[in-house]
Amino acid sequence: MIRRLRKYLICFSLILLIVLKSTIACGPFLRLDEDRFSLFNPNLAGKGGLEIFYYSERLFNSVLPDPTQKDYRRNCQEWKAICGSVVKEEDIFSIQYEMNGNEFAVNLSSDSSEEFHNNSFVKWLLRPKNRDYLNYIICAKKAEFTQFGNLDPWEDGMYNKNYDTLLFQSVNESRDGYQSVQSEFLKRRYTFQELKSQYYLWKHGYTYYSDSLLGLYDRLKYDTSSIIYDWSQLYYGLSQTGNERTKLILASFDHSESKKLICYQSLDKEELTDLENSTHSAYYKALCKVFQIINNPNKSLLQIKEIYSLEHENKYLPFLISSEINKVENWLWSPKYLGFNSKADDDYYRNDEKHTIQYYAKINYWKDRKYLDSVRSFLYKINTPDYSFHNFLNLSIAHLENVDGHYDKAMELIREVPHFTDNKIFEQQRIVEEMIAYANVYNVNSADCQQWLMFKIGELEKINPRFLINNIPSYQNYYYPDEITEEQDDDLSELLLMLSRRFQALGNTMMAGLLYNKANLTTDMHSFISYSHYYDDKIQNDSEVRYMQIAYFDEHGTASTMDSLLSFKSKSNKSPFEKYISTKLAKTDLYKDLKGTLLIREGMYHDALKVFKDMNPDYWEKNYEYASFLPQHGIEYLRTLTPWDSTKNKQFKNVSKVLLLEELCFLIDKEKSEIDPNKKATLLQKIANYQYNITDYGVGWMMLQYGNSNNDFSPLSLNTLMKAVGNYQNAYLIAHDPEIKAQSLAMLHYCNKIIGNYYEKYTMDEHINSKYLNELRIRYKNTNTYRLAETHCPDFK
Amino acid sequence: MKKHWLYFCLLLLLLQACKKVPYQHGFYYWKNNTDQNYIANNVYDTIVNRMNISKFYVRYLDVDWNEYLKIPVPSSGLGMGEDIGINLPSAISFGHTPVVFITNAVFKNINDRWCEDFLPLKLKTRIEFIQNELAKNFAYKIYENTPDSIKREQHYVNPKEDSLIEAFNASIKEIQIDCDWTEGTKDKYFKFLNAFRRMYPNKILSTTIRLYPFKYYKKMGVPPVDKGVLMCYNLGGIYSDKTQNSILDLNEVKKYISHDDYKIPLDIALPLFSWFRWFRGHEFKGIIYKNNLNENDPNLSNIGNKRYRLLNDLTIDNHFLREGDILIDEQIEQKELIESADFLKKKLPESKKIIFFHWDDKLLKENDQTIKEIFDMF
Repeated sequence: MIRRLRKYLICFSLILLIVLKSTIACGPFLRLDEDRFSLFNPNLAGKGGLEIFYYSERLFNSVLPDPTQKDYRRNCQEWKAICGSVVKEEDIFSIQYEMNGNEFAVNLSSDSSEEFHNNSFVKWLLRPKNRDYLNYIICAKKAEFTQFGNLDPWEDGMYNKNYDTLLFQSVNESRDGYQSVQSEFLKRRYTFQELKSQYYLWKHGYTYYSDSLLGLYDRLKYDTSSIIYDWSQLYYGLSQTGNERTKLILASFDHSESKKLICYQSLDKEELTDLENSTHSAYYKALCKVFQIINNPNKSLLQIKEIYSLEHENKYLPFLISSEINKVENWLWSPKYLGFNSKADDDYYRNDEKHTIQYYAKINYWKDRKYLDSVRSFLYKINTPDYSFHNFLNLSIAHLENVDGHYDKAMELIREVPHFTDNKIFEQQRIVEEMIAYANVYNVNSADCQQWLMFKIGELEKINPRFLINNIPSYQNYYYPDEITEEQDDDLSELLLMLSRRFQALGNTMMAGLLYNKANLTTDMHSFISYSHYYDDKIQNDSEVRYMQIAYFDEHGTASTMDSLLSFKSKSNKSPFEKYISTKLAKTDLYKDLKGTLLIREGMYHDALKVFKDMNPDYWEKNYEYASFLPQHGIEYLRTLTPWDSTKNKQFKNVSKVLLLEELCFLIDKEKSEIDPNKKATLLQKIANYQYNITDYGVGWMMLQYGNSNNDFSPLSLNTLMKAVGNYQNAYLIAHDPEIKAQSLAMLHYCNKIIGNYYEKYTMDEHINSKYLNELRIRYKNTNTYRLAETHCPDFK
Repeated sequence: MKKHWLYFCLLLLLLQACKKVPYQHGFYYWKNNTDQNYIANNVYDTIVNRMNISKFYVRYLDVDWNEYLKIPVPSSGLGMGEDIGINLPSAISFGHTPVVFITNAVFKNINDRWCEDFLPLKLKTRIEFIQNELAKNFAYKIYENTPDSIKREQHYVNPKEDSLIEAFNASIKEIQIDCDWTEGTKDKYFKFLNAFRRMYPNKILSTTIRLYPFKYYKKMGVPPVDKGVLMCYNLGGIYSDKTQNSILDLNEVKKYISHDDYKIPLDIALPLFSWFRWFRGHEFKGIIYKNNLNENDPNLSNIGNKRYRLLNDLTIDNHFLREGDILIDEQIEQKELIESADFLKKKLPESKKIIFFHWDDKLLKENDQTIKEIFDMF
């Protein structure tokens, strides 16, 4: 049963491949950011709350407000300063942020949780002298419940009114707490709790709290270094109006990490413009500008320049510059390396041949190059040695030089950049720039160069162990979560793809293919995208022989590529680089099968047969989907397509390309030695039939390719069909028998129709009068062939 | 003679039973509170009466998988935004069918406990909450809209809020679940439906059925519900620029309506929406909604065949459209819609309702006659 199920699954996958082969021509549906090629790490600008706004095709790059939890850690550090060395910071974090109010209350009232009572922060709180601190935490946890409930999103918006009672309670308890404690630290925190609770009540319509909110906020102003103050700016600010509101929200945005998203969402363009026009403060002017471009997918250099002129040291500059670099590399590199847009044909533009996609791709390309140049010039201009962002700018400029193809220049710049031993993100970027430049300046075919690249790959893997995870499934599954590190985690894969393209440019298809497979990225070629979500959970091919292992070679390789690959596979003393790219090698017979198939495409049938004979005889019975799609019979007769000859093809005892190809080679050999014109012509016809039968429209299409489309006739099929046409023409020329001549003409007419359909002159449903059909009608109308063709085939009526 | 009389009566009864119950005309109401156009209630009333619309399927909420929480969560829907009350136009409100859209990702990831216990329960709570809010608003409107002259009449009794709410809740007889399930998620989805159905012993539970699961019902299964609505649109060719019309193509529909063996009664839903499909080369880049861009925008050049080319780089709704990108304008051809309705009526003679997806003031106005014509056919 399991075997059967598996067979069905594999069969289904192949059908999907067949569907995809046709649909990909129309362009796959990609997940957002999946078609983005990016090697500039935005984390260079400093991780934190800005990660949400990293350049992405998604509305927000992430949904976590403070992925690195900087704010929470700041709060824990403030607590740690109070508690002293007996309390571990992570224990404070665990109680403050990993335990909800209810859990805290339950644990506190029972002794059952050993882990809770062993927590150094809990131990500290439970000391009698720290009773005030414990009371505050109890109060804060309760208040937290009123604002977040039990963090159940199912109850969002449902129980506001019920919580209001608790909020009033929280206001009173915070007020009482404030009165009862001496510690300024606790007084400030009680004030913050009261402010927050009052804010929510104000929001729920209890507007009379607006006056007291001011008083509470004023109390917090005395310690502007605390995270409490930064957060309070938001709550207080939201209750205000006009420029005061805008300023407070901007300040909270600037000072906190976890509130950045809510601040961003709380201000609109008009409010920002109002403040920008009325304030003289460079700080607020710059922040208004930052806000306006922080999530802009369009070009923002102009505004960045304005921010720089307002504040040279504006801390958002590296982030904003990173976004522009990510945009530039997306616009210039994504089509180049992933290729999705570049292969488009001109279907859209039939009415306007000048304005093809290539035409616009070129226009946009030059616009983007020009933009790259502007960004780079600006960066060169501001990059003085004493500038705070000097290292960042060095890497940025080197990257832009690499994107622009100025590899020598990039190499020169990167040599001047120091090694960043204490900053992994910077060091990773430095190595990335070094590798891009090096691989494009030097000959990657040389052993020395490969050794150097391997060393650098090792360095990258040491810096970022996530590079070692093979097949990160992020893009393979439509519903895989959008991880914020996703784009950075595939950097090594993108480098490998870049190397693959470099090898291909130098003519080394074997290395290019192996690197392509190692990179394992979605590109325009044979991408296994779940085209329809009905199939999304169906692609689970765990077969040992998978088409993806040879897809690149199928597209770009020749028989000699496969020879190189076969000898590479058996090479015993592989270099580390060769070993590294050998991890995805396929079974030898799959390579041989492709080699034979490539030879068939070239019309080198005897050579192909020799290759197939060298394979395991039951390979086609046991692997891939050969057994489902290769015929278990000969294919020299076309059966219903040729009503004048319904001779049955001979049956084979098993599915085998050897048996199938022996049939053709036998016909070719026989034809060569045959001297009787009619017999020779009949043999030529059979050869042509065979060739027709291995095109998309024939039963033996799997002799020529690995997928088939019912809708489209592939260029490979066309090439083989032209060979068939040549043989039908020869048969027609040499035959004396009018029946053979008529048969040849009939098939030439039919092939001609397929060719016309391929070039979109007409559809297969249309009735066409070809020169072959005319001749058939005029000269061979009385033949049995024509009579039968006219009776059975609409094409001849 | 008596015997004959009895036969005659039986015959009459049989004839009565065979008499076709008239079709109900319906609409899906798929708006968030935020995007309601708030056209006047009396305008709704007029349209509803004129078109004899007796049924509204109201989207209450969407449920999506949250990877960070690892649970299904309610996403958009009625009352989901900040400070937005839950409200519906009066003409739509009474006797509507709540609809919950659950993404397939939910059933791909959900565990058994959530599938059979938590999700049905939480959904029920949420539905009841929304329903109660609507009921309260309904009761309030009844009171508010009663003219003072009537209120002043001697025998006028002010209706009790509770009894109005009760009547409102009683008017909701059906609940519908909308999900694009797959073969892989079928088991969990059906388990959920069974559990959810147990929570509503006195209501009809229905689901939407896309054309694919209709055609391949042996593989895709038939949901364990009382009835379904066959959604005759959005055939999946959205990502291909070769697709003639990804919203509705009768030839495509015909390929799917290949049998009449579906095990639950089906009603018919037809599309009434429009959008731009956005392509760069042959690569599908996304959907651009017409509230963000219209065909008369100066940045668009009409290149024929309902295609528009971008003349400049343009930022729309956080998307960066490039010069040369193509927008394919998709809307329903009136002829196609009528022919589809005719075809479906013949193919699904047992259907009881014809429903449009969805209620959009602008499209309603543009297609007024077509909708009327189709409703008249049923």
